[in-house]
Amino acid sequence: MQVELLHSTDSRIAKVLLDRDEALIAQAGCMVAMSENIGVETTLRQGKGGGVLGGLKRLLGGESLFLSVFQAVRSEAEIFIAPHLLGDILVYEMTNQELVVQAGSYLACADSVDVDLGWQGFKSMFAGESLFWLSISGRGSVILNSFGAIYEIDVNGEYIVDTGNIVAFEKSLNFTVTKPPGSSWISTFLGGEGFICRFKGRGKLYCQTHSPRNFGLEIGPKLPPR
Amino acid sequence: MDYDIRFKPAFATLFLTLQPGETIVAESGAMVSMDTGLTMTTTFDWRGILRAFFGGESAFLNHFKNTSTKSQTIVIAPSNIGDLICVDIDDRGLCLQGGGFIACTPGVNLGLEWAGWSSFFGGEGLFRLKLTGKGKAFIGCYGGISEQQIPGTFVVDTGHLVAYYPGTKIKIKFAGSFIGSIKSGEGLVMELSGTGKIYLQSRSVDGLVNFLRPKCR
Repeated sequence: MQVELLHSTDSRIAKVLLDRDEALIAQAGCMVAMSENIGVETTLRQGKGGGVLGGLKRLLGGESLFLSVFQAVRSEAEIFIAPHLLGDILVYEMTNQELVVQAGSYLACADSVDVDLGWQGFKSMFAGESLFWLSISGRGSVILNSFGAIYEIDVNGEYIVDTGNIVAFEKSLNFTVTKPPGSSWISTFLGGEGFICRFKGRGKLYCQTHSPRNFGLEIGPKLPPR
Repeated sequence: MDYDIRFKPAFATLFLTLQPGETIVAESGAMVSMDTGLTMTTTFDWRGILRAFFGGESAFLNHFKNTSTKSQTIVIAPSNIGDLICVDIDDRGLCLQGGGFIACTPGVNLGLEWAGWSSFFGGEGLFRLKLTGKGKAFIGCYGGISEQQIPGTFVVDTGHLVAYYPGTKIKIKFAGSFIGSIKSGEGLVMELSGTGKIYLQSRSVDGLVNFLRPKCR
């Protein structure tokens, strides 16, 4: 499986090349186009993070209940996948390490990759849009998406990210939810920063420059109530 | 202080490096990520209340200071999708549309100035944000940003003006004749007179809101 990213950060699309019998598991509704030599099925998946329970857990993690499986019937199959919102795509290679992914950022993965609901403790209630995060393990490519561009931070020691701007991080990192250094709890809320995540350890952290929540707060109040 | 604006134009984001002792002032909630050697203090003054009520900005400003002994980085992004530019602020000052302020160096003051009734009818508010002092300011917008040197008079559609120099006068008028401007959909426009530089945004937030409004059901 080869993944190629096309276009600039605001309109990224992933072109995935599959060999015969290779399969791509993707979030429902993210396929844009594909060649005719690909079979499509819907799955709840089996094994780790699979089954009906796995599907329900995915719902909790902000993803779709069912996943689509795109399996190449012959070689040289290609498929284009993209998220619904404007934004960037990240391809991450799994080699048996663990990756923690913010709910809503998962787009697709190779079928050798396991996606399970991760529990980061009650602190994650303050750390993003969802209480639950996805825990990704196994081998192969994972395709993640974001609102805003994605940049990588190689954390060695400590690093601070605003909640809502985390896309994914390697499991070798730990985080605590706290306030920015030097501020009091009152000033951080009045100053609009609120909670931040303080990462510790050594590993890669992927952040998104913009947050859908902030953009929504900008536009939402100008729209009529539903 | 070094800076780099990456992911232009749609997701323009400010990557700043502060040397020990240096400070950057940012709009409320604009910090995305940073090194741990920076400390944040939040300031608030009476001008902040005015800014919040009349200037379309938050009443609070966050100051990020490098209190460590090494250089530290901070990432700052606007909440809107769009471009970001750096403008040098000097004795002339700079007037800003509400929401345009993202960050500045500590020598720049954020004030508020009476903008007049014509600005109000142009949808820009009775007061306008004015940057004075000396330093760098980072201005954000919705869409792309264009600089335009105006030769005397110049017409700009309402909602597209991001920043201009204080000497510029603004009048509100119909794009053509009264009937003509309703038929063409241009409606009200701003007639600027002066000789300074102005900054325009390629999209307007009102345009997006008007597109989305009928779809909210």
